[in-house]
Amino acid sequence: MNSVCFYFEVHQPYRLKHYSFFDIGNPHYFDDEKNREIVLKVSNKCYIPMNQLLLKLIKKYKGDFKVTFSLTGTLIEQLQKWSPFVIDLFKALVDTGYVELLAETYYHSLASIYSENEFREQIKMHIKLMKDVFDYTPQSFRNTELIYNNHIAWVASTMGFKSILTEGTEKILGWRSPNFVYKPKYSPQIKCLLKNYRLSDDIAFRFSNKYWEEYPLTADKFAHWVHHIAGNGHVVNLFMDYETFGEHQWKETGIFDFMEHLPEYILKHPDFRFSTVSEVVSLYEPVGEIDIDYAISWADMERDLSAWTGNSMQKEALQCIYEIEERVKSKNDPFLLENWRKLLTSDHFYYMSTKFWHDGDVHKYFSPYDTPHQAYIYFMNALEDLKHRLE
Amino acid sequence: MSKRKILMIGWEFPPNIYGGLGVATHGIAKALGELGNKILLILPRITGKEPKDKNLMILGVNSRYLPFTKEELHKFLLETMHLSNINIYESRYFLPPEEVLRSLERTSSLVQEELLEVQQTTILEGGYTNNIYFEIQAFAEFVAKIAEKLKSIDLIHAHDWMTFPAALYAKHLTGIPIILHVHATEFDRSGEHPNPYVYNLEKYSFEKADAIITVSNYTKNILVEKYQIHSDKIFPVYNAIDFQYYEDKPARKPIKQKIVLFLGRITFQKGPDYFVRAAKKVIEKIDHVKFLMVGTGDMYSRIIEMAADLGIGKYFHYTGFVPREKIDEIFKISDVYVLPSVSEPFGLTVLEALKAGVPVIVSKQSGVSELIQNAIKVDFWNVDDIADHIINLLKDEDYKDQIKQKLNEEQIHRITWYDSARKIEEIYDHVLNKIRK
Repeated sequence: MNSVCFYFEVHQPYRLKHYSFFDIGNPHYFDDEKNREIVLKVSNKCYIPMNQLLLKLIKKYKGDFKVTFSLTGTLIEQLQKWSPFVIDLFKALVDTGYVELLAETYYHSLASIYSENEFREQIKMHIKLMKDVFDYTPQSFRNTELIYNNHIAWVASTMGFKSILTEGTEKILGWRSPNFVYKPKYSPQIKCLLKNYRLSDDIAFRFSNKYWEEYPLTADKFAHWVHHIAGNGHVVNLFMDYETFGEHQWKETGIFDFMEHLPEYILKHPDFRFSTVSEVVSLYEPVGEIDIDYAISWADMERDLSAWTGNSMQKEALQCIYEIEERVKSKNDPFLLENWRKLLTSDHFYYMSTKFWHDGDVHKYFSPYDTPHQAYIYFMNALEDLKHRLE
Repeated sequence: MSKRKILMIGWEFPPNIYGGLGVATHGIAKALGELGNKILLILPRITGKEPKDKNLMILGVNSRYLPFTKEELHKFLLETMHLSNINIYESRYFLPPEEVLRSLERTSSLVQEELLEVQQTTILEGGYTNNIYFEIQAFAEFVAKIAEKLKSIDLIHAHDWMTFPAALYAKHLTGIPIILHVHATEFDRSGEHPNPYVYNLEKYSFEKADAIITVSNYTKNILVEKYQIHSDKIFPVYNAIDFQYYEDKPARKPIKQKIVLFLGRITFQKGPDYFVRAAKKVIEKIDHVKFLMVGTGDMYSRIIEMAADLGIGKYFHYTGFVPREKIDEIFKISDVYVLPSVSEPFGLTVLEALKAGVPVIVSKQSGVSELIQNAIKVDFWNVDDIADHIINLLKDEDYKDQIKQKLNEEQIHRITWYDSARKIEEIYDHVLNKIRK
């Protein structure tokens, strides 16, 4: 029996205002209006229609169709404030019993790289949030943007997670296939699920690309590719941004129709079923070991940290925000701590990326600022204000 | 001698300011007007938000937003400048935007067209776009056609190379003498690698000019040495402090650290990279300091990255472009102002810093350093020297007070645009007398 494992990342950051030098002294850093506008827009284009579609599919297939989500803390907070109906839909999804929720860092941060202490705290905060909002306790873990190395796997393992997700890149696999379960070196009690990036990106990136030789992608065709792994794999991990549906790939591209029909075609093959992340690791034994010291991720062509740490502006901003952790925490000021943590969200550093070529346009597409330098300037100004509050 | 009637040709003007050129053009035109001269200033583009001053009428190419009423303009043109035919101005205001856009496509056959059509078919961006060479040409044609219709102009006075073709063309059609005012040369903007088009245009224009005004001896020397212009027809006239005095409201300082200021376009000419390098040296000695960079330009991104590469980005803040009224406030919160220009014809901001009581460190390669005896003068490339002066000013309050005291004694801030305008009047008369002889 083989599995198809859909996992969706759902995230919205708190975008910064165009916070100028002259704003320093005003402790309100985030652009409520813009953030609200974006949350409402994405709710209408993606979260609402896609949640409704998934609910419909889960009901229709009575347990044969399942999905896994991770919902960041910054997303949940903003939905609660501005789009609570989406929260209700997510609750309805979780209540079906066929939806798994993963743990992650509450603020979608890079803490796994810069502060193990903060990393663990944010995961605990996120677990608590899942409990409070959905009455749900996550069993498995995924790190921000699938950032992964041996140490991160070890931390996740010590926190009791069954499995951890990452990118199925050749950097860790070599000749091996992503379509099996693996175990991290040094942390054999936790299992590793690897994204099949070819099939995932066929949906997430190439679906509406008219110059792609496989365009248009139909559910029939895609299911056929998935079925191909029978005999040389156990699981096809389709990991992607939830915003793929309706936001990155607009409704007009037919992405919703594709998803509506996909389960039917996948399930036509008697050896295929849908499984959630934690089910996958109970179903299959690891076939090998994953050993990587430096961090990989699912971002950009490089599949490393360069989207967030590739240039010196990013490095400096990261250093400046993490070096004040102790001082921020010793203040015992919840508003200050919350501000600091909202600034840890990885998106702020992503906006500062100066990688132009291929990925540059992706960075640009997602950025609320005209240039990476502006993103850096506003961030550093806000950080300066925060530092003044420490004195 | 009776007051003169001047056709002035500008490129930048408040509120659309890119650098010092707009401020200086306004200061000069306004002071000349207040001294009784009648001035018609033509600009590539106006917004209607231009300041209104005595005896100064402003006209823009195809601008529907005059800062004056149509009647005021007509009266000025008819009675003062003796415009020969009023009809050409009829119906040119309030063109619907779509018509302006449509007319953009028909800009090629400018030369044969009447002023009416010129105005209807041309809309210039102004500023410094990729289209600037075309704009300069179209502007020249527009200005020359107006000059041809005005019957009692004494002199044409043009500010910087973008306006020189207009001045030359107008002189060609009317025979009226031209005075070219040099606020910057191509060597200031581009260092030792001047754009040959601009250099040749400047050189040709300087040769044809009846007189040239430079903003300093520094710039006069560049004209003599690099353009081979005879020094007899070059007259240095210093710039002065801005007319606009803002109420002396206390400025809020957003940060606690001392502030070392860079203010100006972030371009090669202004030496922003030397500022960053000097900052690096200062930070090695002093920690409680911030470097504030105000302005923007083609080196903006590079400078931000450079500071980050050096690991000192956290000591920097960048404001980008800042509106005029904010600049006084910035000077007030600054502890040191550094002008590390590679080549600075004048350096108006130094006077503004002095007005606000900020001690200045000025590049020797600047016009303003001729004017201020007691300024701290440095070679722009000597970052160690710049850094030492910054450190001394920040650390040693007595030294800082001493410098401030000395600068105060020079009464630089008392120098006004009227002083500049009176010198310019002398040059006007010199040219007119020469012609009469």
